[in-house]
Amino acid sequence: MNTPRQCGQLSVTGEGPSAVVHGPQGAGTESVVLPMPDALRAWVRFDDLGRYRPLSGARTMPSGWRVECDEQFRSQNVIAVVYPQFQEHIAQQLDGTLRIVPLEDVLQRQSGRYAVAKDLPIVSRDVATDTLCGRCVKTPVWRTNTLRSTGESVLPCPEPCSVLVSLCREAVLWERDLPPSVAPDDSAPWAAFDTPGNEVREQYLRTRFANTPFSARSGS
Amino acid sequence: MQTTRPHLLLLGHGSHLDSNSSAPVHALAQRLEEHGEFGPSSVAFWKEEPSLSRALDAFPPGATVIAIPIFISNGYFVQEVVPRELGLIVQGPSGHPNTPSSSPADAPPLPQGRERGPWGEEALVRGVHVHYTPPIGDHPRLAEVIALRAKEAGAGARDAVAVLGHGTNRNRDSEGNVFAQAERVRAMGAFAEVTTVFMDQEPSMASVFERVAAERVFMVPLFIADGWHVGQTIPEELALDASEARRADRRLTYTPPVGTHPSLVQVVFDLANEAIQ
Repeated sequence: MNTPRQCGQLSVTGEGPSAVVHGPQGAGTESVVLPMPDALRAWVRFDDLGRYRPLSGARTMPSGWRVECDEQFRSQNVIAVVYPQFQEHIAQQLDGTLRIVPLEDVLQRQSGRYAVAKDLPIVSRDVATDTLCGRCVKTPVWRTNTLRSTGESVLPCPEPCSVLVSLCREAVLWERDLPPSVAPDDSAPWAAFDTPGNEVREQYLRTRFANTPFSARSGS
Repeated sequence: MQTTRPHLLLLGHGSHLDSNSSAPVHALAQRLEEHGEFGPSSVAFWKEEPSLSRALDAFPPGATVIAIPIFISNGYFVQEVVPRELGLIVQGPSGHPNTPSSSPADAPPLPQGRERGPWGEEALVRGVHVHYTPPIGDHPRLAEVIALRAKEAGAGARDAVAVLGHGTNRNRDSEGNVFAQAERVRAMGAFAEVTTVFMDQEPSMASVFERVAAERVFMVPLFIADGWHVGQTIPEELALDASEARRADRRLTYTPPVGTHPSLVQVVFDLANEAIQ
C-alpha cells in the first residue's frame, strides 16, 4: 500500500485519475465530494463548526471527506482549489524565482481603512504573526526568507495575506484603546477580529498584554 | 499556463466575512473558460485567495493577461487598490502614486493632454503583459443586464425601474457608473420610468416610492454578489417580505443583483475584446 502524500491538511493516495484526496480524518464515515471545482470549493469553505474559512491555509479544514479523482480532475486540481497557487509557489521556490514580500512592505502600501496598520509596533506585529500564522499550515517565508525543506508537505507563503493585514489594523486600535479580554466564543466569525470572543482576537490580546494590568493599559 | 491566447484575470473584492462574496466571480471565470475564446481564466481577490498582489504569479513571463475588475464603480478600488496590488502603479518617494512601475521602455508617448489612467495602456509587470480594463460597471452593455433583471421579475412598459447602487459619500467617483447605467436603461424606452437610488448616499433607496409615480417599481441591485448587503442589510432596510414591499396600492419588487445574471459573461467578453483591439 502506498504511503499517503501530505499537502497541508490533505493526504493523497494513488496516482493520476485513480488518486484519492482525503481531508483531515473525521469521526464517522467519509463524505464523498464531487471531483468538480465548485463543489470542492464550497465544501472547504466552512469548518466543522459551520464557520466561513476566508484563509485557505487555516487549520480548520472540515474533516471526514474525500475526492475520488478522475481523468479531468486530478490531485493537483484538488490541491489548486484547496490551496490556491500552492503549486506555482512551490515551483518558484524550487527554482529560486519566488518573489518574497515582507510584512513591512505590505503594511506600508496600505491605504484607506488599512493605512493605520503600518503604525503597529514591531513587538505587536510579531504577536499578530505568531497568532495568525500559527493557525495556518503555510510557512511564512516572508518572515524568515527560508523554507525549512523542499518537501511537498511545506506550503510556502511568500507574502502576508489580507487577513493578517486586517488583524494588524485591529491591533493598532487595541494599542490605542485596549478592550477587555473575554473568553473565546467559537460562534464568532473566524476573521471578525472586531468581535469580542473571536478566538484569534482573544489569543492576541492575552499574549500581547499578558503582563499588563488592565488599569495600567494604554488608553485606559 | 502556456497558451498563445490572452489569459483572462477576473479581479474581485471577496470578503473575510461573507462566504458568498466571491461566488459570482468564480462562476464567471468558469463560464468564460467553457466558452474557450480566450486562454485560461483566473481569479484574484482583495480579501480572498489568490490575492490581487500575487495574481500574476500564475502566469509565465511573456504571457498576455487581460485583467478585468468585476466591480461596479470607477472608485477607490478600481483606481487605487487594484492597480497598486497588481503592481501597475507604485508609490513614488513622496508616497504619491507614480506611473506604472514597469511600463515597457519603448511605450509610445501619450497623446497631448491625456493623462495616464490606471487602465487603457499595456503594462509590463515582472515580464507579464497586462491589459487592465475598466470595471464591468463602466460598460454600456451592463444596461442590458439591468433591463433583463427587471423584465425577468415582471417589469413592463407601465412600470418603473430603480437602479440601486452602493454609493458612498467618501468618493464621488463611486456614483458615476450607477447614474450612467440608469440613463442607458432609460434610453431603451422599455419602462415608464427609470430612477437611481443608493444604499449609502442620497437619493436613498428608502425614498424610491417618492421618486417614481408608477404603481409597480422594480428595484435592481447594481451589485456583484448576492451577499451581506443584497441578501441582508438592504432587504431589512426596505422591510421586504419575500422580495416585495407594499405601500398602499403600490408594490416594490426587489430583483437579484446583476452580478449573478448569466448574461454578465457577455459584458466581460466585450471588455476583453475591446482591451486587445
